[in-house]
Amino acid sequence: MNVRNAGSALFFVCVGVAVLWKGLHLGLRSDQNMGPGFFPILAGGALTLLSLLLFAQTIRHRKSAEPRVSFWVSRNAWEKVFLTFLVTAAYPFMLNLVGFFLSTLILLIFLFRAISRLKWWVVWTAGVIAAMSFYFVFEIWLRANLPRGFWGF
Amino acid sequence: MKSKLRKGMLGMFLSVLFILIFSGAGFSAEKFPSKPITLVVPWAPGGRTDVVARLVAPVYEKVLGQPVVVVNKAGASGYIGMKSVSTARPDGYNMLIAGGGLMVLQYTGESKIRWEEFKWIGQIYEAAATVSVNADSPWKTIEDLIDYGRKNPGKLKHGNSGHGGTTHLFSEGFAKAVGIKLIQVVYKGDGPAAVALASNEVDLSCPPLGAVRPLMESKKIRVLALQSDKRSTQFPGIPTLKEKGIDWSAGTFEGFAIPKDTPDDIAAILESGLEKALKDPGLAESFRKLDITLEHKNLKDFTAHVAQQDKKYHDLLQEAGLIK
Amino acid sequence: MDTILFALSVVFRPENLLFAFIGCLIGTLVGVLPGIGPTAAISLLLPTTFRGDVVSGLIMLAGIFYGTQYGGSTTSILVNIPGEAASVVTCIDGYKLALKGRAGPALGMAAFASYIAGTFSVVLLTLVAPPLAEMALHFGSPEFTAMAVLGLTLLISLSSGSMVKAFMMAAVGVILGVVGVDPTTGAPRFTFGFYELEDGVGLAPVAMGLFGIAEVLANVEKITQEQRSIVIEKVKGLLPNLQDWKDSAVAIAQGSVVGFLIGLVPGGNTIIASISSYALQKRISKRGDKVGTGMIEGVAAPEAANNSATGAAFIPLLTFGIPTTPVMALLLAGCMVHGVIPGPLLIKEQPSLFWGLIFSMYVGNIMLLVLNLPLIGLWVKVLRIPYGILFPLIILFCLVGSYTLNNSLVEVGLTAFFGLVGFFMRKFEYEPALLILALVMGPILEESLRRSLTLSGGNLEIFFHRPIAMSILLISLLFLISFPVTRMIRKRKAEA
Repeated sequence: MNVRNAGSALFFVCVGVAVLWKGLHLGLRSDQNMGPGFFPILAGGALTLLSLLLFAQTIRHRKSAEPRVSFWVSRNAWEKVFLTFLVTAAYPFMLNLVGFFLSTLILLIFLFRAISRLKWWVVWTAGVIAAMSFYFVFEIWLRANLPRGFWGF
Repeated sequence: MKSKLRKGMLGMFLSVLFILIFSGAGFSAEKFPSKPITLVVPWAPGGRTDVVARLVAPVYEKVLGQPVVVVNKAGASGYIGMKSVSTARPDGYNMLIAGGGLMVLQYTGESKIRWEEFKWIGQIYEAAATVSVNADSPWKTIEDLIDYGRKNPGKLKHGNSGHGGTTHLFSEGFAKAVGIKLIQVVYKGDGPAAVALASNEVDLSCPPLGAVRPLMESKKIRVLALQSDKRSTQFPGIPTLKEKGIDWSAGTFEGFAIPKDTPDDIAAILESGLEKALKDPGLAESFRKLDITLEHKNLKDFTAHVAQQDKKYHDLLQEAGLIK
Repeated sequence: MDTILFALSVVFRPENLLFAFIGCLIGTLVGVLPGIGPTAAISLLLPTTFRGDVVSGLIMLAGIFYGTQYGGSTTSILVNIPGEAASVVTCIDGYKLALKGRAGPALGMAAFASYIAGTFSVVLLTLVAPPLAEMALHFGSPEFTAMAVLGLTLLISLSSGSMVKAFMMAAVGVILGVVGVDPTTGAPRFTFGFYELEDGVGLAPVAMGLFGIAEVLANVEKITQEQRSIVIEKVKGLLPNLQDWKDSAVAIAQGSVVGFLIGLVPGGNTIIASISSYALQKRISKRGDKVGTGMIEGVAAPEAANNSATGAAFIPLLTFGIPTTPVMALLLAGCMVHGVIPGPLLIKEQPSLFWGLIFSMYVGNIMLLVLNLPLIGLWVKVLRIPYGILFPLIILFCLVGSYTLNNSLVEVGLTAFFGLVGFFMRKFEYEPALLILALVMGPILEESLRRSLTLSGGNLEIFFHRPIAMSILLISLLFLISFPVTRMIRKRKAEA
């Protein structure tokens, strides 16, 4: 059985029901017209039904011989993905704290070293050059007003 | 190994140096203004507020002697941009352009903001709302329209530029003043509302003159009246509501505001700078082309005006049932 | 005739050609950089155009406009990040072509298709503007609703996998589109107290997350100690070859026409244009099934369509001063500041200006080609950068880009979040393109539908009284039915 389809179908059923419920709260109708809840109900309801359908389809074909493809490419692959995501998600917080240049440098150094495993001198050179280029393009040229850290930079 | 270590240290050294150089830019304690001023436009680029800000900024720059950098911080009907300035450091380097939009937001927004959180250093312009209909409609004068409206309550469809927005409010104020009842049809912005009027989807609309001018000139829209106190210099043929005996006038306005705790002497510098900048003849010409009236008010007058408008908007919103 | 020749001479003056070039250059760069879209770019440069001569200013604005359209396609093809909404469709085949080593021909075909279609639309504009513009005024809210329905229906045809999953993604997209303050009643929906979400989930963070970051996360898995690069086959050739041209001819032709028609009407936009053309191409192409796996016509069709739509969008603006999109509204503002009021008066009173603008559009199109073809070689080299160095740059690109949109850290966080979502979507085999397109179409549909109901007093009859809307809805219905029907026919054939 295609576990992924079954699992994700159930996930989406939950999402659909949640949206549907919230939509009912918002109100189906208002002044002879569609209320703010109309579309959420419609879309949430559709999602629920479709997900149930997908689930049913997956159950129906569960006996078919599907090769078990492993979720992750290699045994330790998930660590890399997780770390990359972590530093990506941390970036907005870093921006707020230490400003653009430093956050960018930290992100790049971390990724270059921890994930790509480049040599230190490559890490630093590429990191600094890239951070400086981004700074020049966005801050100076496009005047984008990138965040500054607590020291004003 | 040694050379790699050296290269690593060089890299580190360079970046530290770089950081130091740039953070040095923040240190300065001379006469105000001594570094660039940020002018926040709480709307997306391209709107009237944005265009006005970008027209005034270069002139203001010349007067103040420091760059005035326009930054767009749109979102939540202006709340994000406005809040960013009201909570910014009151050192005179953070400025906001706002007016009618803030008035409305105080009462309709999910999050609260008050005009009292700012010092209003000067008004820049006013833009009167129109009362416009489709050029092919049977109403040739404002009296025709009002007449029809009174005889057919709840039949006239008015296209506004946003639920709870200034056009919506002004039209409701107008409707109440003349005793008619409108159906409000919501559009996203002055542009789509004007288009809807031109394609006869709605019966009337009350956007500012600038939004309907091209369509007026291409004879798709007829402007029946202006909701202002005086006639427009560009289009002297359009009557005002006041002339017709209707006790109602409305228009949007905008000016510069700074955080309320900014020291008075800095505020004074900004205030007089603005007054001087607005005397620029090129600016007046550009404003004329955009159909907005350059109308400067100094800090005292503007603050009084804002307080008065606040009450007016509050009452309008309450009437329309829009206060949260 | 004299005025036309005069206008031509004005446009080809060296300084105006320079302005056109600068406009295209800036536009392309801005289009390549995610986040800052044409609206922002034009408004940034608007003040500079205030000072100079009117024609020069307009020429530069037109250049920027066209440039951004094209720039968005570059990142779509190279790194699967749509530079703007209309480029999402280009990502589908474009990126797959790049993976096959055919990034050069893809970029080249995108440029050529854009040029041909763009010129086509400007020619049509010159010849038949006024009557076409009249038609634009017949489009009201019911028609917009019908267009949105059409867009959503066609959207499904973009999927190459399970239909159910495609519909699910569309539903999720619509749900995401609901997030924000309801424009008609002011009620907040799904904002969880974040006022940054009051305007809805922006398209750019979602696109950059779902496409850019998710792709990177998926590829990062494959980076091991030994291999430092994703297997991208060696780049074969920089320009489209004869076979490519043969394959794309029909695509370009239909893309130009479809794009033009859709761009002309208020309510139509480049997104619907590119989806429609792509869907149509899938249907009519002999190897329709393969479109979606990296076929050159899958790039040619949407690129032609969105450039043609861009040109067509000028028509309502120039003839009546009606802006059909926010970018047009900006251009209108730019014109008005110069005292140029678009409309029938413009042609009568300032014909040299009018023709100057038209010719500047021709020039803009040519300039795009001249500028971008040599750059293809450069772009392709970007792909050669070892992935280990490239991928953090891509991540940064997406994160910084999303910040610059609104100076908002929340959007950066959203981008990261959708990156994770996109990663899981890939693993579970759901298609992100559909979600994004539904995210855009959903709100349009809701807004127009509600407004149509307000106008008609609450009943659906209004649709039955409007032939244009009905025809569009019928086309959508036909499309919808055609899926299961074609499947049934194919099954019968296979069984026979």
